[in-house]
Amino acid sequence: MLPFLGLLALATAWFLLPLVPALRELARPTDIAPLKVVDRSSGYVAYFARNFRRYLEKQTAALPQEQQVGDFFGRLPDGTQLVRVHKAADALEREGAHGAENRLVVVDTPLTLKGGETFLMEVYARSPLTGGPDAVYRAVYAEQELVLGEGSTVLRWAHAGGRLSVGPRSVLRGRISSDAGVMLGGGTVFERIGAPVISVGEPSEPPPAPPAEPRALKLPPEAKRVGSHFRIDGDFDVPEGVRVTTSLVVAGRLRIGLGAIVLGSVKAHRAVQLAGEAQVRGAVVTRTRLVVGAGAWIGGPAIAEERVSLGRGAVVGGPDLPATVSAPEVELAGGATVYGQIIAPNGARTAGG
Amino acid sequence: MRLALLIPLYVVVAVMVTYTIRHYFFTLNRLFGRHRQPYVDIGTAAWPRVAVFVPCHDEQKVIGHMLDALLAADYPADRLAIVPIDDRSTDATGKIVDDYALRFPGRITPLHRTGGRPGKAAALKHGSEQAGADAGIHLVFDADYLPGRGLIKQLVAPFFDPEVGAVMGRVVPINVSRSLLTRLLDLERTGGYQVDQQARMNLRLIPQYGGTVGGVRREALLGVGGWRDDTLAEDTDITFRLVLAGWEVVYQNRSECYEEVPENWPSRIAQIKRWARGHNQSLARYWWPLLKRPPFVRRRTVVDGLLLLGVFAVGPLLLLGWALAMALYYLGIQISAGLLAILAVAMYSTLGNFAAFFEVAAGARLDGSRARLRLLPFLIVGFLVSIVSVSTATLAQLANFWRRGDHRWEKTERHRGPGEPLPGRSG
Repeated sequence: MLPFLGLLALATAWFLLPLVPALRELARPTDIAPLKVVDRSSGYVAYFARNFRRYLEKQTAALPQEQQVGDFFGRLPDGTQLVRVHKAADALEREGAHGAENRLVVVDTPLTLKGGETFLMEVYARSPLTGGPDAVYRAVYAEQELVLGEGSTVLRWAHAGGRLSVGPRSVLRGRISSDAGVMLGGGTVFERIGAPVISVGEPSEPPPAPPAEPRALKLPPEAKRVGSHFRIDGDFDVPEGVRVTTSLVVAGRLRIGLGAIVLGSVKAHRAVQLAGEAQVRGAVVTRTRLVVGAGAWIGGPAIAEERVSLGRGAVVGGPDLPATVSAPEVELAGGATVYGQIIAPNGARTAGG
Repeated sequence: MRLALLIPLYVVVAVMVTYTIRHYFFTLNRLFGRHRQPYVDIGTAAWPRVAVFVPCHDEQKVIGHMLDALLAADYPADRLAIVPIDDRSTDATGKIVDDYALRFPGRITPLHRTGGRPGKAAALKHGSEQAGADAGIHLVFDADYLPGRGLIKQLVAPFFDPEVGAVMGRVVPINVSRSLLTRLLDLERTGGYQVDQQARMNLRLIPQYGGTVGGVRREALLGVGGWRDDTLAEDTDITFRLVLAGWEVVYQNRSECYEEVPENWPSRIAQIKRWARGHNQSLARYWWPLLKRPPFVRRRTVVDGLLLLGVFAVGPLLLLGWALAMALYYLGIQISAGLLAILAVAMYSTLGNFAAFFEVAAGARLDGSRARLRLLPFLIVGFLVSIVSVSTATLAQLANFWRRGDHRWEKTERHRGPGEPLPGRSG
């Protein structure tokens, strides 16, 4: 009997052995909170910038009254080192901020930096801030205008309440935003930008309505109506200078000819190409690449699963028509303008520089 | 006699192996394939008018939280209509939604149903006919859900694609800590959404519109005849009608929303039985139209669609396979050991809609929540309960001529207490 019981105990233990982690987790839970995934970081481009501003307001409000104004070198209540430049524009330099500045910098006065600085903590500017060339910023929040000099690098985010001008050959990691507009120099690399208007150089306007309504295109008989769009198997070319009055879904490649106008949205399972001055009033969606010719206009979001290329003076959205350009990679030629945001997780690049 | 038993067994094993391959394929796709989420970054746009429908029956414990969450959404208020559909509630649900309507005039427009067919499908049909005519997008939430601020925009974004007819977001349990069951359901949801649904999105197959945390394009809905009120699974039903009509259904893994999962086994069993009956109705209705492959539907979409339609038939088939194997054994009929091995493997790894163990493990890994994965062995309990529940529901349905269905509210019991703290909210 005893050997049997021993064997039974051994067999039971052997069976339960793989269940030990499960039984432990059941008895003493270590991971029972709901997944923290709902609304985790918000797609809002200025999300981190706004959070930083709230943090700084809270911290500075907790400083003693006499430390809340004027030049100040000390610590915030949470222990973060702070330098506040109030009147003396050269205060940073006097305080030995050559090379790497590892304090949080608050600028209360219009300031122009010489360039070459490295800010390891955030920079907060209440007045216009003009950065010099080749500066490196962890993050910048400017209440008014912000100029980033040629060859600047932003590591996490930058936000300007006024216009944000970015010098050529800059590298902007993370999220870049402005409440007024962002003007990018040539050869600039970035990932996410959001602003009422984003342009490479001076912004372009959406095209005015054509002086004469172009002739309507008669779709091929094999086009099948699905809801308010027409679906076409295979490749399809919209000829030059015609007007398409509905939305289109094309199972192959789609080309929209010079000056043609589509009043609805378009989607292609392969590449989409808009020739110069073509217009799509709605959205453009492709499972591969979107090439937008010079002076062409897209009224709604431009979505590509591989790449978007905006030609010279191409425009997406409008002053009263915010839109998004989203693709793993984005290329922008000079004068290309987006009213809204550009999201390119693998990187966007402006031409030239 | 021998062949009469062996042929069905071979069929069962073939089906099980097919589902096993499907699960492995989906899991490997999620672990190593390209993650496809083309619409998730549309954060700025000229947002269209949207109507959010919340069918509710005796939801006084949760409806206030739901309406608060919708009112806090960052969607332009002048383009968002909130339509709670109170379907003959016997508790204070009707009064609560009316109070909200008074406090937020123009934003909340409740509908009260006192007649007609009861049930969620009928409530949605009624709601979409009575409201939301000026809204191009109709979103649907269950009353126990807690959408985050940005969720409405995220769910609307895919509709800028003119081919998209329906969109589905991800459901995340909020009451995980309540019991072993809630923890197991949390794991199941992880496998089902993070792996199964997203893999189908990656592979351009048929992500399923799940009836909540999602929505439909109104013109697509009208084009296929609106919501059907003679089904228990209006979500599966509309998914297949849209696909057959040439619309695309998409899944957004990053559009997450909290839900309350059943906290006791009777609730869970009732829920799974309802899903099984509804899903089987869709299987009966759409397997043949899908197999005929209408224009624009690809072959692989047909295969995936048939497998998706059949997920609730897997449980009864599995039981049948076990019964056949036992019968053959006791009748002294030898079958190959390899076949038994396949059946055994399939038994432990293929349970259709409930996501198999490796899907759950991969999903938990992708979510970065590894400690909860230790409970994986207990999932066998949940799966066994599901197999039996689904099988009994299917058999009862067959006995009652499954196409007819029954029409009443079969709602899941709510457990949320008043004043209970909710994630991301103060007070």
